[in-house]
Amino acid sequence: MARLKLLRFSLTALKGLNKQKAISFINLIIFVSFFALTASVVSMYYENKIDQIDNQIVNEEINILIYENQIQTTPIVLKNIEDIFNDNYKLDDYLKFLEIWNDLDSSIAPLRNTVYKPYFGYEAAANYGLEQMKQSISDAILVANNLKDIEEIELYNVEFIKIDEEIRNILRSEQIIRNKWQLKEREEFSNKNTGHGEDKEEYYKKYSPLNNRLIQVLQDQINFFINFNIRYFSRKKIETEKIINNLEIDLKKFSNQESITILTAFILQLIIFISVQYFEVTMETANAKRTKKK
Amino acid sequence: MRREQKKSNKLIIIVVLAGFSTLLSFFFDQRVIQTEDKIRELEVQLNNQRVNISNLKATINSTTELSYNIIKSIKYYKDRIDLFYQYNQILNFQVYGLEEERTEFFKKIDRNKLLELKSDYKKNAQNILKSYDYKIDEIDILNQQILINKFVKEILNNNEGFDIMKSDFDNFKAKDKLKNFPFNKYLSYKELFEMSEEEFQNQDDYIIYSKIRDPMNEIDDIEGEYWDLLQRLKVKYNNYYSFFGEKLEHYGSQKNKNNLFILFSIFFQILSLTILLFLFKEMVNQKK
Repeated sequence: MARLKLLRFSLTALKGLNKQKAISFINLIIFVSFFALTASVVSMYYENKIDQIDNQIVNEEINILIYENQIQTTPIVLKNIEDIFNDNYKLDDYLKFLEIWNDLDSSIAPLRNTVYKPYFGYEAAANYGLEQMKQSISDAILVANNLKDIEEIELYNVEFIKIDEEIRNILRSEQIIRNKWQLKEREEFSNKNTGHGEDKEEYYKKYSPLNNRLIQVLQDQINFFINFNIRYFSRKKIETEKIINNLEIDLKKFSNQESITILTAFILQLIIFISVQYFEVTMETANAKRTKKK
Repeated sequence: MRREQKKSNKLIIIVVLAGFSTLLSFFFDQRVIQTEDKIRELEVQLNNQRVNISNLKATINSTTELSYNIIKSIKYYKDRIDLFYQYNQILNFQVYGLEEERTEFFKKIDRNKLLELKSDYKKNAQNILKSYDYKIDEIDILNQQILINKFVKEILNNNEGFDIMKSDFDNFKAKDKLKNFPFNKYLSYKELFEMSEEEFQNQDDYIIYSKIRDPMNEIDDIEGEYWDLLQRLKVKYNNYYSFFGEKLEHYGSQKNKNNLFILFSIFFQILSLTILLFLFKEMVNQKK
């Protein structure tokens, strides 16, 4: 039924339409088709833009993963380092009190407990802090995207190298002290020399300057985490959130423009399609008539 | 007659052009479908990579924390058991020793009070070792969590070592080793100083102390294995992160290609319609 109506419409139209008018109409549709072509190219341009922005957002979101991880772990690292100070200082107060008796009996609060043992706690904390610093610098480099970032990283990398070297020096010194003592102890045991109790206190005493150096290292590490880690990654997070926000605004703008362009292209294409169909039906009917006449 | 021929040639060329343009439109349609497949595959890969980055980050964090946790707590238990061993000996001198062996600090303290202190130390030592065993259980569970991670599994399968991580943590426990400890054993200074290193190490209290203390030193060495594991995990993490950007770029270029194919498909579709319009125009022109 619909096809019959279209046939009737096309035939009527063809009768009423002269050749010049038909050509003008076709020219108009050809002109429109160029707009349709342009609209499709423009919509693809927008689509490309949208894809680029989408990828940028995904990339920035991955960076946020790193910032958040650093921002979350830094307070834990700081707490772990501070715990070492707090635990040792708390115990130190009691031991110092008992140390007064050491003049009468050095076994009450021996240097082994006040100096030697705490060294290993400080050393473990310093190594742990160093590992975390290494990870921070590596993460900072991964997410750095401008000169300002690089300059800041470079500045704190100097600090990191300084701390790293200091820890290595301390470990080397400790190794020397320990090796010397072990040699001496071996000699004394083989000679059945029983007077090494005082020497051992001397040996423990040698750890005291190392402890002070490690405490300084731990304080430097705390400074690094506060001044670099927290500040750098928080700043980067704020910057990235701003970038994502701007990208999302652009994305919204481009997707609006794209949908308008696509709609225009579709309407134009529909007009062209209807026109082509109209001519096709008209021509086919004319041909059919001619065949019938023959 | 010749004119008719010319006209029909023109029509044929237009029809061929329209057909060619339609064919190109179909061709680009097909290309779109194929690229869509690739894009889907890349999307899956990108998602996997994102999950892998998070997974690696979490594993690095948990390994670092566990490693430090082990050093810190094992150091604590070592210190406590050393103190017990040392102070128990000191108190034995004060309680059972000769007058000249006793120190000024303890001389004025009532013997019963010292015995009470000794019993407190004993109780504390037993409790410390009980809590040490619980700590070993905790470390075991956390270590197992790290071991089942796919990246850790891969590293452990491809590399030698990591013996402590793979070992049975039950061996590190103190269990009831303290049960037979001679809490009241007393050796005079003379006996002690005349003893050789070997004789000293063969004393039953030292043997039990060593049996408890040595596994603590052994499990402490796990730190080295974790450090090694961490370095390898960090390399993987940095690689995944760097390649994520690269993969994202590839994904972007595939999407651009896909958009280009869609554009060409639509373009040739509209072009074929436009050529058909030219055809109709030509046909209307030819109509007398």
